[in-house]
Amino acid sequence: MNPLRTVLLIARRDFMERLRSRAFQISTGISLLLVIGVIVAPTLFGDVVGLSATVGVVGEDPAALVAALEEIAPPGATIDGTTFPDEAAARAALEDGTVDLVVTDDAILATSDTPSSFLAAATSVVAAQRVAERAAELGLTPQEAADLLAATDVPVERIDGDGGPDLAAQGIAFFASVIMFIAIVTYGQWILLGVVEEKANRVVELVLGAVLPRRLLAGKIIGIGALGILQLLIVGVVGFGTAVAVGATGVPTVIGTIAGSVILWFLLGYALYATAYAAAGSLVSRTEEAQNAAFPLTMIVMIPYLIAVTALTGGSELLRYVSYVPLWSPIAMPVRMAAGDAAPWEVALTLVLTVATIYVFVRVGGRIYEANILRTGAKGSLRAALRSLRD
Amino acid sequence: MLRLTDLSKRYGDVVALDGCSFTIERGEMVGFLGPNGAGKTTTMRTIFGLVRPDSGAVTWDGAPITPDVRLRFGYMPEERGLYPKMPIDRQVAWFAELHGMPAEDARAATGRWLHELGLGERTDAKVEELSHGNQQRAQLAAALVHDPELLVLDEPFAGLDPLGVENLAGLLAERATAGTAVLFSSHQLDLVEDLCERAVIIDHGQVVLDGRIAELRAGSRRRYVDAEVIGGDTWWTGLDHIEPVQVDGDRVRLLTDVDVDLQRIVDAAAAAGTVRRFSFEPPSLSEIFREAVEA
Repeated sequence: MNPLRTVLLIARRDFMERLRSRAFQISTGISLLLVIGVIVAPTLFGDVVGLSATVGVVGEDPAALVAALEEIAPPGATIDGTTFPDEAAARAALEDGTVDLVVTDDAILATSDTPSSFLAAATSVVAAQRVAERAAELGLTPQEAADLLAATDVPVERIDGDGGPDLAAQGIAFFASVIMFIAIVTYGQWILLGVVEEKANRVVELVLGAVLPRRLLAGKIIGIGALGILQLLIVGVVGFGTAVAVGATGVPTVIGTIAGSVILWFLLGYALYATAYAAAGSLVSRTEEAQNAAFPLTMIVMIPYLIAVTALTGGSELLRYVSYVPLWSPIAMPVRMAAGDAAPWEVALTLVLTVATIYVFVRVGGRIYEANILRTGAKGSLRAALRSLRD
Repeated sequence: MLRLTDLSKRYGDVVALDGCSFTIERGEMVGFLGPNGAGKTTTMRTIFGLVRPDSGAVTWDGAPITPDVRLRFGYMPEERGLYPKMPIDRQVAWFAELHGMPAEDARAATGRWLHELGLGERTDAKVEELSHGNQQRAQLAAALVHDPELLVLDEPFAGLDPLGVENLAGLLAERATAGTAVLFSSHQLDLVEDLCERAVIIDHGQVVLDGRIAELRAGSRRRYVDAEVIGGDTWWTGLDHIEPVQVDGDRVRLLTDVDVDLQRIVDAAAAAGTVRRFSFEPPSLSEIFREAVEA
């Protein structure tokens, strides 16, 4: 039979049976809730021009001011306006929180509760109005006034490389490292458990009576990997949709720029660790021992994750070196790429090193798996793994 | 034809196989016997490439067994096991596809076999929900579903109730009649004697006896006299080359040899009392077995 058909039959079983399992449905549901929570929470509690803000004006119609504020407010925000007969009434309303901010003839009144971004927006709008009024007094036409203001836009050029990290990109890089870490550890454990379960309930002998071990391994890795990607896509699409719906600005464009590198590095990282987890699984005989087998691998994945997460506040030399280690590149590189501090030659170098390491891992991990998958009884150990390489 | 030639396998200091050789023809059902640890399971695993022998070869129809050839074999391992959370119909059909059947045929064959094995009502049950006996049936379905040319079953009768034994025996006989080569191991020697024409007995990794069961028995120099002589007391004393193996009142089982003068024994019994029963038989398969592995 065509080896590819065998591999795909194995992959199909691992994909479909897990997809149907309650464990998968629950874990996907929990991931969705977490992602939605992470995206929605800042808009509920953070210092964003709130979902609604009210501006008070003394003795004038607030419509023009409200319109100008709405123009620069993020999508979804609503701005209300109120008129007060005198400044005393306005101050009272501000103090009891009825309005967030008051514009008088010669000042802007605010409290410590006034969101700073709202205050900044109001200040710039009022300033622009003042400039326009002065221009009219000086006899300039509206067009001349516009030209005059346009000249105040001074272009800023950064001379320390290409742009430097911006906050949105760093936030996304943080998410990227969290997702990479969770994805590799989770799907790696699925493989390990799948291998141990087949071994523990003895079905593996029946399967291997018809299928070569490396085809069983390949099918298992492909099936579980495909399911992992499906889960990531579901969570990603829902997360993206939520971000757009609540108007978390900046997220969509940054995601667009880093999605490619996250997916690429996930595939590489998964390919790298999948055979390692499978080999670890083949060394133990009972599901109770599976966690012990997974532990060293989880530790190895955790190192670049912790360094990446702590390094986010600034470019880190340590993270740079860590990202060169093939075992760690899949987690460290997307973070550096998202933060914009990975040179193209670094990306190319780590890609080549990682692919070469995957080749070695598939060979070595496959050998360990083949040698130990039918072995039962004796507890798994590093020595057993090494012995199986020698045989 | 399956041919095993001079298979040897060591695990460290333990010799599992030590020059094991035998053959099985299509349409032949062979009982594979031997004490625990004799090498039966290792031999069966070697046929499926699960154990790589240190030396020796396994061929099917004269050619080495490639992964594709192996797809035409059916296997029931000693350690039973299926995917516990997968419904049996999907699972058996998956095994059929794994053995190269197109999806459509796999589904049809699965339905047929589950029905035949008495699981027709429970096709969508998960394996873990089935009773022990039904799990065993599902296991058998997974071995049979692709209509294999060679069927290898490790202790298929272990744990079955008498009715289950009878059903399985009938089914295996039917497969052999249909042209399948059947090899199964068992410790139930009477069953093997009833079911098989041929037996292979293995001990310490070597074949110690191999042949048609009737010929193995007839080939022994031992003969047993089973007699019931009312009032005969110890009527056999005084006869040469004869000794009691088991005495139970008037019933006695005597060991003698093939060249004995049978008429003298009959006369001695008749002279001593009323003969209710008298038989002169070669050893049973169990006795042959004991003789072979104790030597």
